[in-house]
Amino acid sequence: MKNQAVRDDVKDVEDHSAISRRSFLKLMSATGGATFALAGTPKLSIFDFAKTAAAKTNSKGEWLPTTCQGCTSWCSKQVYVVDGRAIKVRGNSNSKVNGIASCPKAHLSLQQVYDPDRLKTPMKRTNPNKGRDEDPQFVPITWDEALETVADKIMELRDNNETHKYMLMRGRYSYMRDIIYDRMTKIIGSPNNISHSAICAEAEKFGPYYTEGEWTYRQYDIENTNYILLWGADPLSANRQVSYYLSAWGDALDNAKSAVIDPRFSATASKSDEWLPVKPGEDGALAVAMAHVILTEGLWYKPFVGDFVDGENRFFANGMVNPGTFEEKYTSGLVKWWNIELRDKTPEWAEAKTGLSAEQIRRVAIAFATAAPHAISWVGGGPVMQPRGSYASMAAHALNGLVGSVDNVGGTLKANKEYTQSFPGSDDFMDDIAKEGKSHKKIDHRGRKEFPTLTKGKSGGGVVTNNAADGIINEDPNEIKVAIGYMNNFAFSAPQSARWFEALAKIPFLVHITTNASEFSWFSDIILPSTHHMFEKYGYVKAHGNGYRHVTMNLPVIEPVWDVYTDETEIPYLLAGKLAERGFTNLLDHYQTYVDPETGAAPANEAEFALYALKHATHKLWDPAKYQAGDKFSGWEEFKAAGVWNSAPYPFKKRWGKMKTATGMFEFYSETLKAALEGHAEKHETDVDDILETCNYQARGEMAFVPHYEEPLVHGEENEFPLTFVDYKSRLNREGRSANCTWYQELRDLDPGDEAWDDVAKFNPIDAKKFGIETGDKIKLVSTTGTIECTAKLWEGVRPGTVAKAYGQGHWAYGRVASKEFGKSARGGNNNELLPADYDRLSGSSAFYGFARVKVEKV
Amino acid sequence: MNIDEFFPIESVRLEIYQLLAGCYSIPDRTTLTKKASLIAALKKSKIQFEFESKLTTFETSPEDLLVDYSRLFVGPYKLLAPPYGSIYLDGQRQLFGDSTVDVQSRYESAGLQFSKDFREAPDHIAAELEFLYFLIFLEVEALEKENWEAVLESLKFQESFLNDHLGAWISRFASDVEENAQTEFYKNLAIITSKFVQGDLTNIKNSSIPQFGKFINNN
Repeated sequence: MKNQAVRDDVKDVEDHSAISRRSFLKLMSATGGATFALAGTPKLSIFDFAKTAAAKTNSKGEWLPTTCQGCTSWCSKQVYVVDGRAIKVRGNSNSKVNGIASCPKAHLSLQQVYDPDRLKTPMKRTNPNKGRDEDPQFVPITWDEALETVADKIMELRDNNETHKYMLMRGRYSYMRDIIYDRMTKIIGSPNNISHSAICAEAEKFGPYYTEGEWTYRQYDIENTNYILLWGADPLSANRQVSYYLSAWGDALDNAKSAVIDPRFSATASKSDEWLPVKPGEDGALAVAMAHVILTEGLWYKPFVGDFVDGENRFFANGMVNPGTFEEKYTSGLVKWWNIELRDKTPEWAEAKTGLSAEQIRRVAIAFATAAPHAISWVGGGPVMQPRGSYASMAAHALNGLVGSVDNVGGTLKANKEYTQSFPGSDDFMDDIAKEGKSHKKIDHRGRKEFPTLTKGKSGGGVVTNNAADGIINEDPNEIKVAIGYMNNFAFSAPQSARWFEALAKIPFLVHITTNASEFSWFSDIILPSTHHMFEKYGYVKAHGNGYRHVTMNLPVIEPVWDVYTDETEIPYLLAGKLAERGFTNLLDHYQTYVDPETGAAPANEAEFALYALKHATHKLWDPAKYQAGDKFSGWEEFKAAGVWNSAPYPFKKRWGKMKTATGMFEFYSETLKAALEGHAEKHETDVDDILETCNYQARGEMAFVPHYEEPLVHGEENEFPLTFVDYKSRLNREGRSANCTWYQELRDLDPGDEAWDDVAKFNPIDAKKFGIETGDKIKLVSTTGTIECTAKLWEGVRPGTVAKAYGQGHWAYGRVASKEFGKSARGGNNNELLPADYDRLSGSSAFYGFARVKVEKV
Repeated sequence: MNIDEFFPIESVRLEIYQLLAGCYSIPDRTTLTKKASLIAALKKSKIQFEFESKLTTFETSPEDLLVDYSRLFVGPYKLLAPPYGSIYLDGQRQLFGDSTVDVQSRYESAGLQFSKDFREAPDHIAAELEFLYFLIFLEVEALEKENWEAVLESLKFQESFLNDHLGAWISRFASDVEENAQTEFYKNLAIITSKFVQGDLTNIKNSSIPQFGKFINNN
């Protein structure tokens, strides 16, 4: 119906303009047409006379490919463009990952690109005071003035040999990111390129890495599975490949049973066979108890794990097992795991921890393992983005090892191989100033004793995004004088956000590259308008699902609406030009090496640079002479028209026995983690136990190297803060960037339990009665570190003892719709102002779940 | 109708629309002069209405003017008085609606395109005002050439444009400005614009077009 209405509207417009055009042309010819210009010329400043007949855009409309980055699904999309205007969005049928499937939040992109509150021109702050209560009073400036000011500030650092005081903050990105994030930061000469990854879901990758050697998000073969066990993941709303799972879930459930572990009744829980409303933070207890059941019941998948030599099961509750009696096949350390951790983790033990009945724990564990090897243990952010979450990540993921679903049909898979290539290296363009600057320590303290951040096995290998605020505030290891942020909003998206208000206000010169001025911009000196990633930008991303990986491109499908440039390519190129004018040519010289793979030509301007960089990165995908595997194209134009490249199908079981772990096997006793922890301890001249104590983990000795239960580390005493706060993501969030869309507000009730145009904290009626709360009450939620206001709602879909609220609302500076009263009051509250800044220190992840207690007060 | 009287009336309209368009661009040193000329022109106009004629702008520094302009018409946060037709005509507080496509097609039908430096939506108030200036320019040209049918055609085109676009949203826009402006300059400018545009539309519809039609029939 709606589509028809749009078509009719378009037709009306066409008819109308056709009539106008005819009559006006008549007038023009009567007055002598364009020749009147000889007699007297109108003084036009906004218009010109059309040189040619209007380069007529397509009035019938056409579907053009691009990519949606509204969440981390990174779906390949098509946009319906009529007369240069984006009208509709659908899945790109050329993608084998998402196909024609789409999701609700993709459509909100149309309201984002045409949002009247978008940043339309570069602006500068005229109020020199910075703070939450200081309106920056931005005024428009030209791109030249903006970039020259930025270039002057960078040159000042270079002239004073203090380039390490430059910082680049990255939020969401495309894979053009290294141009601005890596190469530009290095060539200027700073170690401080800080990504958002640790406020995303790094702990989710920890379990897979330290069991099967893959630091990556997984894909799940749901169409061939018989059981889906979800840990805090809500793939019908958020997480990854939402479009694909929304379309395939119904068929999957024809074959499979599903169980959702989540203190909140999520969208996916509403479609599942079992809901396990676990006590927040106790997922690890549930996981090890399930492992205990699988072993004692003899349900592990023997072709993958192996068996007792004589076939007799010796896994009995509390009993030790002699390792010599068990012969493993593609796994390592099963008996050690049992002896160190699992033997006493009975369902009855877990009942007391998790608040779930031993009977349900046993039932679900047995049903899951009976489906082996086509059984998925799907680990989402909930159980792992917690202090100590690394071990829950290992424990829940290890269940896949027990049932042999790793790398298997109907199981949990890594990403397929793809063939994009990196940008030219920056080493030759780093002068002595840059080399010295880069040698300084990073502002986020990664790799310090208290922040192992063992990404890919390396001490300090990852980022501690949220701790950068403390680094800036305390000038530790040094002050930050000049900083640029792009497509990020740490003042909203990072827990205990008020620390970021202070940190950003402290930076003497802060630049924000963004589509919409946000809370981060509020503290900035210059704000630069960026193209919208889905409609106006060249870029690409990689994503996997449905047994494939695709490389899908961000393509400009409309003319940019405003005076904007692209964050990751055009803006650094233009800035490089300004630096060159000031005598520092290295960055521009480097960017000049990004030649067009077809002609060998160096870029003559920022637009060519963006295009050549993309063609370079994807060269092996579209050039038949460089063909590797997967989709084959005749050349760039054909690739561009398709918008997406698909990998070869998934090669099942190819990694069995050849995993990138220390043993090559799936590790239940992680030699890989042992080496990483010992490496970190050695660096700090201490032992692993000391590291674990420093980092607030409970494990000591051998326990540190196996998936195991750790008690939740909770902020706030139960007597003062009686409820545990449960944060989750709205299915319309577009990562916190869509709250200024009216559709977002109108449709918020698409999230189970939520209300349109509001931000409701959901209480179980049992608790509500206890606290005298009724639906519609205006309330305050108070944690140990913050207070927010929102509306109360009674809802049975939350576990008693918890209060659940979606992340997404609470913007106080993101446009007219997003805030209730702009600059003064937010619409609802930002969960991150409530959450304390704490970490799962082994992965560097910020804690979001299961660790913050709150109390409720009526307003 | 007396064509000798009509010519100066239209010349004043031409001047007023040009000055109005200029007043809605980013303020600079010439902005105050433009407003002074605008007030002088309005006094000569056929469309008479009461307005605050004193130039309160002198009490306003150019910096304050720029800050107020940004808050009202640029943003980036709340955009207190969106200067775009589609906000008022298409609902959903969105730009580039169907009305925007229609505006664009009218510019194209008049043989115009945007200059490269104009990086705004097609239905920005300054564009719509300059477009009216251009239509009146053609009308005055036609008057000089005594091409009466072309004059009538232009008037009808103006009426249709004012009726469907600028005239349809100017009063709501002006209320937004009046409510939120911190400077008398913009508060005053919005009131003047709204009253003039609405008076002009009524005058074209009820007076200029019928009278000119009659004039053509009589000649």
